[in-house]
Amino acid sequence: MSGLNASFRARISAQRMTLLISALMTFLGLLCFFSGWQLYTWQSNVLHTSSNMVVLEILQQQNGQEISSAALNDYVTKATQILKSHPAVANAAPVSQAELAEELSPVLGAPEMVQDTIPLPRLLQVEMKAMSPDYIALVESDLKAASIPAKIIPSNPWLASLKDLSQALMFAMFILEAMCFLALMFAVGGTVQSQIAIQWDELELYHIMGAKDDFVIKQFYKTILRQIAWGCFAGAIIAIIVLGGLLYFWHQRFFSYEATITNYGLVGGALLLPLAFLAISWLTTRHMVVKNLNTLP
Amino acid sequence: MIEFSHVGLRYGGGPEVLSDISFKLDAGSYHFLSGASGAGKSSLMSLLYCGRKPTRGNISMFGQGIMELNRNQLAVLRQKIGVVFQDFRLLPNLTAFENVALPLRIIGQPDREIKQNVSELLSWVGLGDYMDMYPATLSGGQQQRIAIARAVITRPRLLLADEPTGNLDDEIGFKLMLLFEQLNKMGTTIVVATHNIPMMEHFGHQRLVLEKGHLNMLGKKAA
Repeated sequence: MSGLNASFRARISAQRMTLLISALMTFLGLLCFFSGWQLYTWQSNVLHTSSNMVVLEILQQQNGQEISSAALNDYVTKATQILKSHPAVANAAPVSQAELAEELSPVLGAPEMVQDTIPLPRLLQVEMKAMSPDYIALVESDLKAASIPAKIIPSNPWLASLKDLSQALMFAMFILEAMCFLALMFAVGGTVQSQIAIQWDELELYHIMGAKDDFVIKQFYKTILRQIAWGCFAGAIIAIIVLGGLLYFWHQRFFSYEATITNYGLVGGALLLPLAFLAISWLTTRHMVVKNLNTLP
Repeated sequence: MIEFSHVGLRYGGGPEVLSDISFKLDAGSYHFLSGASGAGKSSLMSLLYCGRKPTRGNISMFGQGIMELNRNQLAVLRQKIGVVFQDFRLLPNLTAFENVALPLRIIGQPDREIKQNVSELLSWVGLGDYMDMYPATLSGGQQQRIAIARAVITRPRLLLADEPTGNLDDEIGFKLMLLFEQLNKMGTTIVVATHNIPMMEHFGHQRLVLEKGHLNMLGKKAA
């Protein structure tokens, strides 16, 4: 087919834009896929580890009186003992003042200074056996019975907000991914249509010579689809390099490098995505050529 | 072999360009198709190579009614027909060899056979030394011979030529007609659309005369 193919190639090779668009769409598509996946993994982890967690705060005042630091420490110890053996609680541990000062340091300044100058709340991290209002009420009443001034801060409200936010972001990623597919589909469709218009006399000649539709479609596959395949390949390679850089340099802050590269769903999806782009281009090419050929008897 | 029965053709919603055309062509026959410009010669030729379907009537080619055939069957039927166009319609990006090889590639002949068949045919039409040349570098006569070679490379049962001598000088045109005579003697049915009366008289084959879309007369075979 080399000679015949040359006739198509000579004209279509001018359409390098298809290659660039397919590379760009594959690159963006992979970035969206990776971001969406990481967001999903992060959300699942946070929800999984935080959904049954509550924070217990020992109040600084009791009956309008300021509670001394020593008494607060006693309350923390006592509350920890009660909660560890409580039927509604899976685990309970006090948050150390140093740890709290460290957490607040980005806002309030050096941890040592924070610890020395600001009265930090006494907190306990409590893992409930189940996040039910009955269990929360039971814990509160038992602490009250032990005369411990405390309030429970459930994680549900901020977790729900976080979940909503991450889901909105994932939806945005999905829309962007779909836009990449659509953009590629329209680019391929436009290129095929313009090539058909340019080469209509040639296609008509094939038709008169007895070429079946599949023969003509094959010529487009061999030219346009080849360019798109190269574009998808190039886009995938660039995306892998960029994502590899992100993982390598930022994994300590945002990602788990090992968990990402051994995640077969993520790796498989990343490999399948360029193939999906190629498949959509294949279908678009076929549709456009068949639609035009159907105008001939 | 070919039978038109009350065939009519119109483009879009326009008037009929061919009306009530009926004729029969036997296998191995040779006909001229003549008529004034706009009489419908090209339209009739397009029906003959199944480039269009009639708006009414029936056409039977090689024993098959074309209205009953699906797209793939029609394509196979077209493979039995060779067409020489007035403007040659050679592909400018292909060499003479590849232009002639085109119908063989369409029917899926292996490369080795294509090479042999095309080389032989190009030598037969006197272009053995021009196989790697592009159409733009060849003369009108040479391009015409490539177009003929392309039309006959698959040994079609029917060869149609639309004004084949229109762009050629008399001498080359005459040689071309001799080439058609040879092909006809080899068993190919030939229809040549032309308005070159001296040439028709010289070769004396049966004539199909079109006048304003009607096939008025089936010309008598000359002596």
